Amino acid sequence: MINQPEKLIEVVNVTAGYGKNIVLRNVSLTINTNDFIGIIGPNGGGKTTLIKLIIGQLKPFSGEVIFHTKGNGSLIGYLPQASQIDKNFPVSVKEVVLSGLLEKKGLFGGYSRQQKGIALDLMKRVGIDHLQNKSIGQLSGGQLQRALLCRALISDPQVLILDEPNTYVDSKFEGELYEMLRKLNEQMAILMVSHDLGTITTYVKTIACVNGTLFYHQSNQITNEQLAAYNCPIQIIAHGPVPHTVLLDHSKENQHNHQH
Amino acid sequence: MLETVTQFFRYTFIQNALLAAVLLSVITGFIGSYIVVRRLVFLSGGITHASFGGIGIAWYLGLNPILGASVFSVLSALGLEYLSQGRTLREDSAIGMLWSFGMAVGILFVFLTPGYAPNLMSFLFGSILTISKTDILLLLILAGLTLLFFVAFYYPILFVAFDSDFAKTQNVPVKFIGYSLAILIALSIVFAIRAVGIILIISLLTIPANIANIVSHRFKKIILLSTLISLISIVAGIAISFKLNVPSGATIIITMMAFYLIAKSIQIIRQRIFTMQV
Repeated sequence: MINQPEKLIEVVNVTAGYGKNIVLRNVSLTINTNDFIGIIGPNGGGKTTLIKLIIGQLKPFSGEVIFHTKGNGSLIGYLPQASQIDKNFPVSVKEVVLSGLLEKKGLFGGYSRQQKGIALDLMKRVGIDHLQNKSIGQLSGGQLQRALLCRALISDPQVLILDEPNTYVDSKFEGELYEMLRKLNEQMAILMVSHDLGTITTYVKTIACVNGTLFYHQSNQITNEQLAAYNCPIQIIAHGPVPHTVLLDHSKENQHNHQH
Repeated sequence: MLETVTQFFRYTFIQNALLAAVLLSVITGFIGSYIVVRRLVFLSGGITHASFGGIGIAWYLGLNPILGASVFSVLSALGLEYLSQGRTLREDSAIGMLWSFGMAVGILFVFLTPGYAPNLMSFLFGSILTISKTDILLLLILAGLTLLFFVAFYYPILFVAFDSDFAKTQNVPVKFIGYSLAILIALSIVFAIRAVGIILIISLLTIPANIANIVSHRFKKIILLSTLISLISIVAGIAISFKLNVPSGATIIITMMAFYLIAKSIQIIRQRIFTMQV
């Protein structure tokens, strides 16, 4: 069954930032069902700020973010950058995955047997079920990302938001991750921040360039000229087996962001 | 030997002290574990010292010093929690300024108060052996509140501490949890002043949880273990200080630190043996 795209999240004319510092000006973006949007842009250009607005962590100075919740699943599944996670925190993999159901569980009490079953199924799907009782400090970067992905997916979200999912990930899992995302995209919209324009252009359907403002590009093919016109100076490094549609100059400054 | 022990428990002030020890252990076990895993140790140190400002002012005005300390510490805890949510100021600098400002206000008002301040030392170094019935009642109320709050909101507390951004996407009331815990931290600090004093409180909140963390990597177990460790060390500290006739607060902390060193040594030795086997 092919559904007509429906609006899930609308960012309307939003200006936002921190204190007196404006990071984003008059940004608009609509996330529809079936979307797979790649967000690119230079560091400090406001990618993270945009994500914070969409997950409700930051209130805009002006404009609004509208959420259209429908159905049983939650609206947003969020995968933060792995570097934001305190790996010494005393919590098990299973507990982290189940925390994606906090909203459904309600404030009081514990998780149901059925919810624990869903968690186990998800962990099996990404191959971390044997680690479920480990502390997160005992995981590798890729294993932690998988656990965080399970946490994002367990509530059956309508929009999956990923903030640089390819950092700290081994190249084998990276390929698997993108294939998994392609499948998940049949069920949910995906919004992915990435430095890696190569993979972006291979897997996403549309591209949003964020650098103070936002330019929405209705295809996954983008040229140097268009990037320049969008005021989106990004640097990409070629690597891996993924086909690259665009290659810009190497930048030493950005190389540390690509550990494979 | 047995006679000395029964003798020990017969004193009313010892009974009071032991009752206070149980209540303090619950408070510091729960709140301390949260402070340690959320890395709020420095913030708690700031609140502790800022509360001395309240003690000084209350002293000067002839009010209950604990009341003054409560007002100061709750306000500074709420202020710091507000700052940490807004991120408009460097948090560690804010804590540093508040820390010394509170002490400065306290020192100034104590100086301005006519006459000698004999009990002042008890606020700085504490004395669980002179703890009053009122203090015990306050500890009882706070221990009850803490227990209730943690039992009711265990998972939200755990996951706001772990990843508050994600908790927000799950519609967990992040602010409510954050501010409630800030108030509980502030009150725990103030009510523990009587027992171990401003200067030593921070170890009561950090050492047991860190010992527990050596043994376990689950928040629930860390809470329960640090409560138990807290109780054992406070009681042992009281007994030793009673026997040797030395200050109880300092003895309790040194006892805790001894337990920490023992636990850490065992951990290191076990790791050595393990790596040798591999």
